[in-house]
Amino acid sequence: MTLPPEIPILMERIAKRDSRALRDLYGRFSRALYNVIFSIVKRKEDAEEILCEIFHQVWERAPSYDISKGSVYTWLLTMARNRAIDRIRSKGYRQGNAQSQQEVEELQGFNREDQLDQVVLSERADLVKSALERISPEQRLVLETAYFEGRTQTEIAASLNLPLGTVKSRVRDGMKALQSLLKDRL
Amino acid sequence: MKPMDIREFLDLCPAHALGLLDGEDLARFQSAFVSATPEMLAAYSQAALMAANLSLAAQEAPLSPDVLDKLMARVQGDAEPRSTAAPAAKRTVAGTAAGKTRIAWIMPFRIAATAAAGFAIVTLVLLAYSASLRSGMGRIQAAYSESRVRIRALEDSLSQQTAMLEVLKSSNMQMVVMNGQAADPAGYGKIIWDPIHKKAILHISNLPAQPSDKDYQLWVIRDKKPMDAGVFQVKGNREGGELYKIDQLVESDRSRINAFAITLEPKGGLPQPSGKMYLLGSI
Repeated sequence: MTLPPEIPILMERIAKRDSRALRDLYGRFSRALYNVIFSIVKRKEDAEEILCEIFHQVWERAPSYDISKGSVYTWLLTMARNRAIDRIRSKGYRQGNAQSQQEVEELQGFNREDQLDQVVLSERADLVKSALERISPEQRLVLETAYFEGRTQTEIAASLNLPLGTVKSRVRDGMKALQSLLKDRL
Repeated sequence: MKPMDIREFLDLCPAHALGLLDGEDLARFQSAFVSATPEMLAAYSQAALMAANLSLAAQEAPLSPDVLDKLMARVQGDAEPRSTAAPAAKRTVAGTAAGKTRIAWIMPFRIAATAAAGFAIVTLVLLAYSASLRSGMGRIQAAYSESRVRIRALEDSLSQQTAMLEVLKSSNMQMVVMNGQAADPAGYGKIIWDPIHKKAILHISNLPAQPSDKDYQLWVIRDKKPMDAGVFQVKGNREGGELYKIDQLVESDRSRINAFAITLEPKGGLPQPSGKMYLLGSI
């Protein structure tokens, strides 16, 4: 895999108000983030607005960003997903659910290896998509609904007309299967 | 609340990393997380990474180059110079002038050189005009983007206020007063609460604006244990107060709720309170 530009160096340059560094960071992550946002909000205008807002946040918050906390991609991804889900729910108050606990700093803390910053995302995307194709369609449906619609397991059970226990087991088994398929490849 | 053993914690790691847990499962997972062993944290780390990897499975969507232009316009405002065309044009003029000197005795070439110089000047003017248009377009796009954000904020505010009215109209409405603690004795708040529908309004006044890396976090003290009820930011309106909608309380049984509390925590909140308590309202 090709090594990407040094993300910490880009963040340092952004903190020093170097807009070319922001452009480079945008070039590195914007497509992957836009795909996630668009998959959730399903409206081009909203997705573009959220993407622009996220990178503007990077510009504003870079001076206080602590790179030692971990993956920049995870930070951006968490912001992107939360904002997209907030947008489709159109609520001004974030709930105390699992997302808010792992939002930004905390989730970053669990990806200290910066794995997602150190790879070319498009190459890894192919591996993840291929692995998703290999798990059962039922597991895939639950995982995709969970990730791209931002619903709780109770809401997924209701929308798919499944017992809650079934949803739980499909999430658990599906993620385990994905982990196993990707273990030696990522 | 039944404690969660390691086996169950490991089973629920993927669901938590995906933001799927709610209700009792979420509360028990949070409690277990506080005293998690290295093995449990490692499992959670794997699940969190796998959840982040799922983002890469999103369908490809074409991304307009306009977004980057809007971003740059927003970042740089009017300060971005777009004058690269001018030196090139000047070089053209200078080059033409030099050539004209060398072959000044050939009249037809002089006419051609004059025409070329004229053409270069026209090109220079057009390039400058084009740069001006691009700059103006960037400002318009930035203003348009800002307007959309403002409209969205107003829509959210309207939606929030409509939802608040629903709580206020409820026949089951109850209220809990929250008083300022040592961190800010002047603080004041109240929870207006519809236990049947698990909805509530939080009214805060006199709380100081939080630092940029912090959020206020609301806790429901249930069975003497704090349960996360969401994070919020105050705008520093110390006199008039601010209202927030809480869409889903974890508990509808009033007899199990001991108190509501507000603490200042790292951005995004924590599973358990760690910062100073600003408000407390006992039932």
